[in-house]
Amino acid sequence: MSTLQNPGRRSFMVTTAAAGSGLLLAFALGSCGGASSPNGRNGFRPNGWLRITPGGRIIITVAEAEMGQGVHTSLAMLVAEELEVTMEQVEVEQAPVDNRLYGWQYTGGSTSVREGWEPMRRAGATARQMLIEAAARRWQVPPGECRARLGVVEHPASGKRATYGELASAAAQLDPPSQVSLKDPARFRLIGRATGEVEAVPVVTGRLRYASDLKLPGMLTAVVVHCPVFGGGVRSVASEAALQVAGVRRVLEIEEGVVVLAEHFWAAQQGARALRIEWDYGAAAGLDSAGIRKLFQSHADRFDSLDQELARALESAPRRLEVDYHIPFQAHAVPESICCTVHIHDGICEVWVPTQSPSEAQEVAARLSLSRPGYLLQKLKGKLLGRPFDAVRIHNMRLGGGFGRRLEVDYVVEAVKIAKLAQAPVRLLWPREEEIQHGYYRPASLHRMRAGLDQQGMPLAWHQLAVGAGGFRSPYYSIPAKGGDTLKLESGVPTGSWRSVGSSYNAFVIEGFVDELAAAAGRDPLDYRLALLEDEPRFRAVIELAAEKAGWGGRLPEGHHLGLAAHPGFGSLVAQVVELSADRERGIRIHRIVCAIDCGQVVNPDTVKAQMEGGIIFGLTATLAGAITIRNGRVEQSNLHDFPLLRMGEVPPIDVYIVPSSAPPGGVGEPGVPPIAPAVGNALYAATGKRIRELPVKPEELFQ
Amino acid sequence: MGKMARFVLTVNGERREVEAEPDMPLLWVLRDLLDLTGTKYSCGIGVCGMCNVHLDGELTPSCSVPVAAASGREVTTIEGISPDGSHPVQQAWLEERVSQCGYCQPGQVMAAIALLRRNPAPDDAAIDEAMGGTLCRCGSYPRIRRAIHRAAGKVGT
Repeated sequence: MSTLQNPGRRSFMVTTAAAGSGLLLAFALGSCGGASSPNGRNGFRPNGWLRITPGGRIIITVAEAEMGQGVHTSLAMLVAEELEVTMEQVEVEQAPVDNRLYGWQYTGGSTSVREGWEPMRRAGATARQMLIEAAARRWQVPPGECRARLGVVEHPASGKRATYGELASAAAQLDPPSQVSLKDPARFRLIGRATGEVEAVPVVTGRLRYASDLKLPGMLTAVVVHCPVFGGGVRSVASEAALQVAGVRRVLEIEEGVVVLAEHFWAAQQGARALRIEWDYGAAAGLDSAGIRKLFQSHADRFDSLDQELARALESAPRRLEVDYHIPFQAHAVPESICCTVHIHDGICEVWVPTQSPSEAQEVAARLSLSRPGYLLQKLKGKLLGRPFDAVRIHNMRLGGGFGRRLEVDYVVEAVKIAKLAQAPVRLLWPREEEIQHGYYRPASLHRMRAGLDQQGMPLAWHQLAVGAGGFRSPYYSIPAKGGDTLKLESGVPTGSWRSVGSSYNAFVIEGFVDELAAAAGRDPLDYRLALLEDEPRFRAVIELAAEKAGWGGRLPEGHHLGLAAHPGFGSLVAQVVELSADRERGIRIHRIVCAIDCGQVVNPDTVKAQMEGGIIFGLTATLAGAITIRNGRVEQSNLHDFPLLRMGEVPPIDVYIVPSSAPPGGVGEPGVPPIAPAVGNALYAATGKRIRELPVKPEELFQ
Repeated sequence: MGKMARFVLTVNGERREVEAEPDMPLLWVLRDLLDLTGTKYSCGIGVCGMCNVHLDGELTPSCSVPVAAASGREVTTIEGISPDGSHPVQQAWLEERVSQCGYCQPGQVMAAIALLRRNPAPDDAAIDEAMGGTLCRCGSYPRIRRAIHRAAGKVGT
């Protein structure tokens, strides 16, 4: 059992709404619970709550948004483990947005379990100790003789027992312990065991209400038609035909486009189709994918500020390689299209929205819905008095897919603007076409990779010039001189975070290029990587596990080939091996994918596996199925027929292996994505001798 | 665009009357007129299967059926499968812990039930074929396949 101080900054505070109302513990999670002290209580700013009611309900409030990554379940498991209750005994609640209580709320970067690992357990342990203490006082026995089990405190010597509910109000009268004892991992009942999702039944029965399912009295549905060309605007609108559509109420203009308001979505969509809009296409009308690529290339060609030492190392190497990799734009294609419901009433702006950025949503909703003095007053109250934006209520709904798209809050801006003009509750719901054509895409980019090798083919120097991307990544391999540069260019296409963010392209170029170096050296790609990771035993073990499970170096069926890639990120280490065959007659057939992950201490192994499977399929879709291309300043694709997602039959068996570890937990939502594209590329090289330096893979070029 | 008209459907065994334009897709009749929101909108062009329902027992993307064509027919939505998740396919979904964001799962469950009624014990190829029209962005396919195998033989025709 490990004993932790409850230090001042992170200490638990107990608040009770009223005597006899049970136990309420607030706790701070990782970096969210900041040191600043808007409410002046020892700098403590909680972002989670644990409530035990006199009736015995145990309610865990979580600030993180659920979008399929299983975070409500994982975080609740941490509390339930230490509290000595089962998952069936707890309820999980989505926290309201309240910067005072929860800090700046945001879900991304595969951070939730990493940051919650200790505080969530400490919350459960604190409550457990207080309940035991309350029982011990009631029975006048030493607390050490009592134990907590399945929602009950027992005193085995006397046979006395009391439920948590019966003890909750008495426990709330106690000071929280200055020290809490966390369980010995050997005694974990829940952590490390496959656990089903807490909201699974409402999902499979269709009863779970997503934001786009809500219906408010008097609600209108809004469809926005955006200028097809990025950055363009409306010149004129002829709305007569749209207003003739049964159910259409109004046509409005906002800065973002033309809005049709109707009684239901179908009428709004029909109305939008009937609009005659003359657009001012603006400066981007001539933009296309080929032009963007040329722009990147010309900047790469003109780049001349390479670090001198690195330049010398590259030039003096006996062998040199230089190749360009190309990454396309990718859309999120979130299954629940972009949506946000807003009702402004009684001086309050209420927002129902699936978002990864609820705090930002609240900020923009306040700015747009309140008068200027009203907004400033709210800001002032927040700063000086630590009050939340009480004039804006964000109901953060479960996300029908996030993948980074819902880190943006453009839909909140639109919905609030429309609700203000409409003076009615408004559900904004984008038709799929708008979602595909008006996203914040994974940026297209060019990566000029350079390396210098010694006589044995081992790298002496490495440089990545990332053009158009968010940033290069220095390789995690041991190389005497290594580095990179980033040229951030605005292509005119809006870009944002796309599951695994920079790793989605940096893994492709690093793992593709290191495979090229291995081939140039005439060495096995696995041995070559391991030789460059001598000081990284944990990472080596992951790569070796994936290779061993995939049968690396063994006999494969006729025509089958393997490709390997590995990538560290988000606190985890992942390696993947793809087994495929590729020929002109039957094209590319992926037979199997093996994935090994070391994500430290595993909370819910089932979630780890699910996230690896899902990340691999997400990445495989971008590797094989399609991309976003630009022509005449607009996205050429418009729906899932020309931006296809992989289907069940296109996804091979995926075997996930978890390396046992007691290191602190790593993230799992994103790290499954990065290695799959280079693993496929490297397997295709093994099969065809052709290097894949551009995504998505084009079989017609591969078999020319 | 046609004129507003009255249509009678049988939805989950209940007679429902709606007033709508004849070309209004069944999906929006269900979601916006009847408040049966378990059937989801995603592509609207019959590609993704997230709006799957059973129309006279046949798997159908409800975005691609005008209400006029559904008139007088039996519509089963996810709400008509079981209120508590007790249907063997839903049970298999829970046991295999299939869902991630969950948005496509009603459509997946509807597709799986239609398959298992036709073919009580499908092999992988039959599953891929039957489930190919229902997309999952989260990548729950391996678990869907396992859940269908688990539910094999437990669904009445």
